[in-house]
Amino acid sequence: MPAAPRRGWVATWFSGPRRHQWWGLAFVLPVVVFFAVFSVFPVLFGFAISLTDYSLLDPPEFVGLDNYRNLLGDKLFITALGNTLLFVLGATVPVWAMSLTSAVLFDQAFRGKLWLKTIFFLPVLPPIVVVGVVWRMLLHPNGVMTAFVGLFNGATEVPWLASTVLAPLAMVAVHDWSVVPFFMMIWLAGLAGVSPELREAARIDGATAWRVFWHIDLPALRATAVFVAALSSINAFQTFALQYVMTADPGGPANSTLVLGLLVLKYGFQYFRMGDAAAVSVVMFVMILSVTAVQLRFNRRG
Amino acid sequence: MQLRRIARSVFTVIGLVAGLLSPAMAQSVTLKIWMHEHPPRIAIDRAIVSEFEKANPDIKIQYDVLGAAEYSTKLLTAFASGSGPDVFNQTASLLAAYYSSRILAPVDYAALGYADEKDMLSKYTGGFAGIRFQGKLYGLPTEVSNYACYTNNAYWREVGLDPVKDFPKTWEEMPAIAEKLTKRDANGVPRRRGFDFNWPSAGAYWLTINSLMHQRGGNLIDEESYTATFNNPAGQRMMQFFVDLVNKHKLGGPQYTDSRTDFLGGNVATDCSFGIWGIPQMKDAKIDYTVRPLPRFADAASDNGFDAYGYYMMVNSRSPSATQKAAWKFVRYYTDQGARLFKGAGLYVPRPEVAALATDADSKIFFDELAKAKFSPRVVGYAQVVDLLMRGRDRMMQGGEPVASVLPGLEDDVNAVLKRERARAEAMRK
Amino acid sequence: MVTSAYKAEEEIMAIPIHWWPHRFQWLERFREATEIAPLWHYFINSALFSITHVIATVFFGAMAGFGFAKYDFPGRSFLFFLVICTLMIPFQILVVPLFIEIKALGWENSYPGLIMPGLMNAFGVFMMRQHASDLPNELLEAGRVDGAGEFHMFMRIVLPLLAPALASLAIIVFIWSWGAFLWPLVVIQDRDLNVLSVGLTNYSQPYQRPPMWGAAMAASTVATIPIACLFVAFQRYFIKGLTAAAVKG
Repeated sequence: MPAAPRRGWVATWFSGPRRHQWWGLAFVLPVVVFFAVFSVFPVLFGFAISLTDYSLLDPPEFVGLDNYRNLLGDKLFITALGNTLLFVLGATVPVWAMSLTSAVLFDQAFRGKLWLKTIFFLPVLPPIVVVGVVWRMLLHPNGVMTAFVGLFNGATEVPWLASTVLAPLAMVAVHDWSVVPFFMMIWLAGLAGVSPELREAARIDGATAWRVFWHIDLPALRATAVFVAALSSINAFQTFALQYVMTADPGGPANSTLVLGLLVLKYGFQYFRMGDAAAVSVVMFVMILSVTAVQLRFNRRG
Repeated sequence: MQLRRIARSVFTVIGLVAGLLSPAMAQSVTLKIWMHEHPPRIAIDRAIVSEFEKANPDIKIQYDVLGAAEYSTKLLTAFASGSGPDVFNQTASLLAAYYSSRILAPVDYAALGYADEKDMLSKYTGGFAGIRFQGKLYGLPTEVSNYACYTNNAYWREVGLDPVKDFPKTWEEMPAIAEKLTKRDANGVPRRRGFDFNWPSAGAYWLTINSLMHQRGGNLIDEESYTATFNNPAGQRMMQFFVDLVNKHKLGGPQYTDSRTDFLGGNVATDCSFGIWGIPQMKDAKIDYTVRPLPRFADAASDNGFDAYGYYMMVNSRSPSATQKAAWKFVRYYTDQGARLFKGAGLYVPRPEVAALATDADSKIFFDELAKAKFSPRVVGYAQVVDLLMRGRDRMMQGGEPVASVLPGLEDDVNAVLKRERARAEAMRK
Repeated sequence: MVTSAYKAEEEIMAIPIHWWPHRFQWLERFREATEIAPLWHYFINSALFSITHVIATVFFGAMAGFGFAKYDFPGRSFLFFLVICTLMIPFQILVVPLFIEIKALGWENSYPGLIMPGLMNAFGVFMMRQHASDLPNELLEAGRVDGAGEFHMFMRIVLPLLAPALASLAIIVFIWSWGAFLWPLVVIQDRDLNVLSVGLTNYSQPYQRPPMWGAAMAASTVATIPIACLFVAFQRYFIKGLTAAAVKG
């Protein structure tokens, strides 16, 4: 009877002593179904859409890899890719430097530290859109920042967000302002894990503060560093809300703040070119995935 | 047994009542109507809707006003998801995409209460050019407009200028006059602009460059061959004029709040982006104004002011046919209220009885200009084309690139979009 | 921002700048903000959106985390891997297909369409699995010996023990959902159904009106207050939760 062993297997799972293990499946089922429907399926579906010409109004038409091929010669895409890479550059290296520096400072003991740390943390609280709206006001051509600059050079109007040179810089500056405190907290959590005995021992051996930091703290922060690097660049690749909110004409002036995240929206919901939008988002996905892959490799080696 | 009999009689009664009510119920249609936001019009719309509902108890109306900035996107998204309105309005320049995706129902003369097309057109003075596709009509005009210039008389007189006599006839005179009207701070930053174009609004920019291109004797885009034709001396001179206003004369630019808003707010002395519908807004803002025709280039090849544009009321071709009939009935009712729309909101439904209402000097300027006006081209990739044109403009104005180095590439880009979108639209209609 | 919310409109852009309001208009700005756009609708929608997400993520996340940590059923590692993989998906790639999917379900421009796609969160599952693994197995065995049902055990024993971790998770999810922008922007067309973060743009870039900074700042204040309150009340969980989310996510 070939069915016998099978029945035996089923029997152990359903009525044997391991019967209660099935509850585990019941517990995870809602989440699994949810992700199947709202994550896994849409990702696969997204790949499929990227192979079509689809305006939403008319049925999709299969075009193979044409959308990807077109991206290579698509000026908007090239511009957005360049802007995104510059933004990522501006939103990573300076952020690492500033957040690590402030974390090291806050790691020292001084009076009023808790208060100062709390105040320093405040930019993390408001939603990103609020950050954008508030900074848009502060960066009004005749606004607070102009008044501040005007104290030094008498300027009464600065086109912070209306110049193709200043606007992308303003995006980076505001982004960095809003994320540095967050990464500082992560560095602080990392610093808390550095063995105080080791530091003490080094100090007794006559090492300068800088040498202690360089030889004791920094090696111990390796995992944190990999993490900060990965998370900050993944975040930066996905940026779009600041650009959307802060510029009068999202992505403007003259496409100088058009990033890939905005291009997906533009293609999808302004031009109704869903296939191209999906293709751009797949490119973003691949870029982010490669950052994650690099991070995982670093972690494994470490 | 007893219980069952009672139950049966109860059901019979319910059935009878339902049977009596059902003819009324079955015919009741709900119309979903979307209109773009134009504040002075909304109260009139609501009044018309409630009168119509009273006159037609079998038709219920769900009327929504959507913000003008997001109107186009939301309308298309709604149509895409099958939840589009039954009746909606939209401006002519955007309609090519609607037509090619078969959203528009052809005009149903019987439901409108007209004998045929000829009968309907006999009630109008024109204005159907923007809604005719391959010979057929797909909607009725609710507004045909053109922009002209408004001066803030107080500011003009303040610097000793007469808004009527001294208003520039040519664009060449404009910079000097605008400079007189401009108030600058110590750094030369204009605190009050003498004259500025409405740069940030895509619709206004489209009309502006098309109109000026027409004055130069050119055409931005040729609707027949679907090609861009502005990288030529006419286009270069026009663009250079724009760039000089902003970068040489520093009279304004896209970095400022749009001139229409700033005119109402008292920060711009002269604006040319209001239609005749601007008059009630001037009165609301308590601005003493004068209406003037748009200046022409000194060596203009064509004597035209602003291009005309039309808003049309249309019916969703995907609505059930009973709903479509009710929808056309509403369209008829609405378009018959031209006089109210004109008096209350300054919107001109091109019918003789409405035109007869406009006898004053201001209206005369608008109507004279309308007679000389051309229509801007209607193209399928409109949103992308305007976007390209605006970004190209900003490269020159805000990025400082010379006109001669931007225009050739820009024309290529526009042509690429036109070619692509046309091919796509043709493939879809097949 | 907060000071601007109380300034008179002409003061906000006044030249020279007024660093501190000369003329306080406490309620005026808020009244204006509610007149221009349905600010309270936005607020209620944001609250509904975020709170539903918090409850669903916390409950189902704890349940799934517990299931993955303490049960051994066929396909467990595969399913867990699947869930964790979704952590690496950037939302941008989901926008277009999700929009089409929601549209096919007939949920666009509605609360279900707004809320459903963010209802659960892989990070929550991951975090809860870590914490549930730390629970002693003996506890569950004892429960079984006493004849308690598995679900009963989850509700009565496991959930209370996970409470501190759930609090951190709830705070993180609330912050994420409260600030969510892209999905609400895309899926909602109806003004009254919008959430605060999207609604805010009505003040900073209104159509044919100069930006109303006073109202924008008043609305921004409204959008920040709930998070600031959470921060003040649960500062410890707050920072712990955020760093945990980051380090493990």
